[in-house]
Amino acid sequence: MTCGGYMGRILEVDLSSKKASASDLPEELKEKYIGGRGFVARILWERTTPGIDPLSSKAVFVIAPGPLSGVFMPGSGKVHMGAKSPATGGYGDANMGGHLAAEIKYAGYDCIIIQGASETPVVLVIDDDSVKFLDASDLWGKGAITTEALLKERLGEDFQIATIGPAGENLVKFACISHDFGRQAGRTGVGAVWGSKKLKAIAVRGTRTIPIADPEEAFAKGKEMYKECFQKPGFKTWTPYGTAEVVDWVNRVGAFPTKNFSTSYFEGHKGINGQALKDKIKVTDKGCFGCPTPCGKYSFTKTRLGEGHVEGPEYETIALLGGNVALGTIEEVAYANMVADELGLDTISAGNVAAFAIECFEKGFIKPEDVGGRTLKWGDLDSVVYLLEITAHRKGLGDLLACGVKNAASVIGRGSESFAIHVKGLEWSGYEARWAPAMMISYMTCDVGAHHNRSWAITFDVAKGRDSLEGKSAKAIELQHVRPLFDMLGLCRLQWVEIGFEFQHYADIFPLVTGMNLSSEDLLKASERVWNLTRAFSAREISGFGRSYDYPPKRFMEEPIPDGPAAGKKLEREKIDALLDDYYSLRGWTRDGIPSREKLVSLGLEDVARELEVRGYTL
Amino acid sequence: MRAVLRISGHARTFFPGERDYIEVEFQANETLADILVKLGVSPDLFMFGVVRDEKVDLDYIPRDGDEIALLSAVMGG
Repeated sequence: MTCGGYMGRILEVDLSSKKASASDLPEELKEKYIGGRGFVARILWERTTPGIDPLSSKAVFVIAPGPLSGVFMPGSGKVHMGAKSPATGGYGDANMGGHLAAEIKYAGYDCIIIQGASETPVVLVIDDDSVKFLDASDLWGKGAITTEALLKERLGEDFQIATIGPAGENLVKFACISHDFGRQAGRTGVGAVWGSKKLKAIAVRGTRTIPIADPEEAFAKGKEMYKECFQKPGFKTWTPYGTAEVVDWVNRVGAFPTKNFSTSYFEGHKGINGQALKDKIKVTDKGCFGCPTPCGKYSFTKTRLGEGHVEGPEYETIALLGGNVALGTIEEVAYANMVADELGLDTISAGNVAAFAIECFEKGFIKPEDVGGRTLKWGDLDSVVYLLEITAHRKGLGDLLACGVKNAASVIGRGSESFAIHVKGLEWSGYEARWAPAMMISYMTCDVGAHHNRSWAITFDVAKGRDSLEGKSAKAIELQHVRPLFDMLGLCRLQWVEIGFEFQHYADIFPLVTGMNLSSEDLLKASERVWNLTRAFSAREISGFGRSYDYPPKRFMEEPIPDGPAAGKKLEREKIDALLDDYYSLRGWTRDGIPSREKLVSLGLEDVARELEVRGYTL
Repeated sequence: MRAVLRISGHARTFFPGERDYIEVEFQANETLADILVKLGVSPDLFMFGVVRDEKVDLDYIPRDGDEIALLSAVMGG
């Protein structure tokens, strides 16, 4: 077999000098870090000047599809992006579907590294070997979705385009990058990094073919995988609803974020569930590259504030811009989704920030005069849209909210820190975890902050006992290696997690595509390497980093859930510490949560151990 | 009466023997949730069942000979 899956080149772009050059993809990078998230993590470690301001011109931004991106198989449309996070100051990344991943491969690249900053707004246009920098002055200030439509008109429909909205331009710490009219690399403030570089958009078109090590066998395996997807019972019953299908279940088990996570059951959930989405606003299903089970729902919504089309809302948006602010109709949630998408805001963090502001208002910490004489209320679309707008444009109170709930609470004070729902400065995504220890430790130890996609473990809590701590940290670690592996391969994991697709398929097709003789154990080892590296990155960048950065908000440790199926539940500090002790021990980390020298060396990361020691850590 | 439960992916790990195909006996008026409880499996692990390509809730009362696929909530994006 020949080598395949990789295009063999890295594109380096300097926005300051408006120069670009291609270089060969190092073999060691492939073998140790696989692709996607692995490339992002290693390159950020090597290229980031320690202690740098994430929004300085010298900050590095990395974009990487994976070796299976763009290949004939289910879910091969994911691209990973990362930078030192403006939201947390530590390791930051996000990924998205759509069609950009495949197009970057077709243009001939496994990775794009962006450094420097333009003095004026710019669009980076990559057209096979041609790299151009187009003036984007007339696009600056325009919405993320609008900008994509305008660039499609100007450049052609065959360009794949990623954009930022006003939130990214205004350096909002939870600004996202948008693509394919509603797919977002949402988390950790990656959009703000583009804004700091005056990078309004990237447009990519390519005409190359991805080499495949064993084309016949890889094609046969891909075909087998598609066939199995179509035969799964979830194919016909899950796809029409997408991720919104889970709303009722999350309520049933008492884990639905409601009114700034003050409780975990939303009485109005039937107004915003998958059935409501399908019956009331869905126009059609919308899938990414290579997807047989499209989770995207293209919708039309109409409210008294306005109407329009939007991709979504998917589950996370329903949870955070629905239940968490108590919006009771799917039309309202979709409208808030549409506004956030155009502004370029991550809907997860934005929903947290809006809910935090409403609770502060309820408690008298924010006054009517702070918000233009308004009354901020739960279940009020006007309040939510107003908060999104002032945040994205940093108007008045929005300038503070644009820094995220952790920073906002540190300024507002008066105990508001206890209901600023975040870990490491990243707002909590859509699962209340006071009665789900495996999910709680997953959130606490997620490398980017309170995000669900590295380890999603509530069913493990349900299966093994929701009050028990036994085995919960071990499960989180197992999932933190399996799930991010998809991000390294350039794949969507929804076929695996949603319709019961077998994991072994992925290990089987990897050598057929790449020609690399790596087993599933080898791949999981690479994922563990990356997990330790991202932890080390945060330790290097954040002074005093360690256990204290892994704690959940006080609300989850001190306030029992007041009602619903999980009424009375909380996870006290002692239990939180017991989970962390177990987690650090199983990982081979110090008692303060820093990867030990022995662990780092065993993963081939001796250089990382040396640098942490130089910076004062005792490993 | 008898029915067959089909489980796919890692939802199998919730069942004794991690099987993907389980034949169960049940009484009239027993629900799908009742059947799961008798197997020692929490109904809260599942969002819904699928019978003849149609979604059914966990309070669905199976018919003799039904083949029921169980969809676990293993979401997370």
